[in-house]
Amino acid sequence: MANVAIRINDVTHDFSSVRALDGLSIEIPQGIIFGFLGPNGAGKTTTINILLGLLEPTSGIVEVLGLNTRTRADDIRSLTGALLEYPGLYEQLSAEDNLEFYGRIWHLTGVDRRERIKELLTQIGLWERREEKVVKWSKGMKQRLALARALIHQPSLLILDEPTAGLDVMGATAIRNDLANLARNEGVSIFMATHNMAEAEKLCHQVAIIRQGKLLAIGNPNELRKQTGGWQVEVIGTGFTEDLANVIRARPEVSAVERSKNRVVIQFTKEIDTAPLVNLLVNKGVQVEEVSKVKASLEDVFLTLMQEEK
Amino acid sequence: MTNDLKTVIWKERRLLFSQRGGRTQVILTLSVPAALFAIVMPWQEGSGYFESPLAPIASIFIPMLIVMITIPESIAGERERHTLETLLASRLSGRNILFGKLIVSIGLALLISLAAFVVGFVVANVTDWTGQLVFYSPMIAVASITLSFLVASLSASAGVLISLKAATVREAQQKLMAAVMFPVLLLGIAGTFVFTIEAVRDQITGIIDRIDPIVLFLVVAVVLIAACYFLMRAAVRRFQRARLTLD
Repeated sequence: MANVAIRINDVTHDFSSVRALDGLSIEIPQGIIFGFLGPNGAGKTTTINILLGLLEPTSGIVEVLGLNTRTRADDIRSLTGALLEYPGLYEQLSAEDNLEFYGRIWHLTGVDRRERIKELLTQIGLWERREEKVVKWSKGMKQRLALARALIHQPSLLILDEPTAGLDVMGATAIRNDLANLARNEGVSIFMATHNMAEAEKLCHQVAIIRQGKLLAIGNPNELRKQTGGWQVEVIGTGFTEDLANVIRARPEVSAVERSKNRVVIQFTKEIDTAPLVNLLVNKGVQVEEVSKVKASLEDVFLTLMQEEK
Repeated sequence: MTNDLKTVIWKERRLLFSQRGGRTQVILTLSVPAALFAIVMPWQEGSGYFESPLAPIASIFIPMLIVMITIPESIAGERERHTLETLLASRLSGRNILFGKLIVSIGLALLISLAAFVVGFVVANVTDWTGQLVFYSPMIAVASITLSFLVASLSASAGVLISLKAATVREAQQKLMAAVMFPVLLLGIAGTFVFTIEAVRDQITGIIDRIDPIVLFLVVAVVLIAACYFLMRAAVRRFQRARLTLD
């Protein structure tokens, strides 16, 4: 029990006639960054609200840090930090006052609050601007302050809803680095809902993909890539005919072929050696200019799963 | 008072004086209605102000107007600015969040009301000096302070219920204004109309003259306490995490 951060067991949640979660079961070990992926309306925010004890599931059991969300919601909220869809900062207050307020909420003593506020604001590079009203800050700075606020009481579990949504590259990278450092250096478990596949791929040790409240796949990004195809070869040149495309499609290790006038993209179910493929293409009269072999991305996996489900 | 309640009060006070324009503008905005009742009326009435029903009337309107500004800002504002979701995800109980907001709003209304009461006393004495200080009658003083508190509490409870259904601060303020002021204005207009009919006026004056003012005050106070109790209960029931999350 102690090494499981979150256990969701056959959870269903209905909003009157709409089923938001449909028999969802997930177990998340402690100390990892867990990505919760899905399109808009998949049930990500509903799951977060249930994890925080803000909503009760219609059926099923949810345990957060070993505590049942139905009976121990207050304790769960005491032990977790949350950064929801909006930063939720009091923009007319200073950065310091925002953290001061949440430090008081978690009953930190005056000395501890001052130390922790300085530590957090220094970590995110905003200590010098602590007395400024947050309303003047950029979206990225506000989001980093909101993350600092979620960490004020040193929670063992952090629940995040789209933490980098709407941020520029610099802002999003800064947040991602903060999260990676947290998991690595402080052992904080992180549950992160997102629809940013590249982010999940870079950051998460494990991901789950849901659609319409149902779990479609779960595992680490590498495992998921293996499950739904692994490799992709792109060939640029001339002479790609439909007959040639059909010959390639007929090979057992090929899952899909996409052909255009000067380019063919071949999806493989396993890693392959490209040399025999290039020989085949040359023998069939293709003028090959460039060949590149890449691992399928999590985004490819996601799109494949979404299409299969449709 | 619990630590959590103190924490919410700390934040509400901080926010109140950090709104657009800062502390001075907030104080000035809130003081305008108070100044009308505390300066203009005692100035016009002179020492007669202490015996007239104007002071208790001021103690009804001042807290009502203050609460109409502060409660929508505190409840609907928190929703409009999306800070309530994060607050609900913290370890604070819904009850502490609600009562922290109510205490600051009612407390401020009461404070400004009391200040207006004191300023009225000074203005009436200065502008119509009779050679000695004239004080409010004990009945007027007690009625004014009690009514201030009860009207502030009643308006605040109604304000919570209305603010929770409003999408913006402006909408909440407009609806609250309509809900609270409309019955008061209607009563005023009806009263003025009725008093133009001589026979009715004599009859009503006769009844009022026969009623003991203490009894009248007690009846009004009991009605206000009962209304306050029911509205406050409804506000507490409405201010639940699950309901607020679903809104």
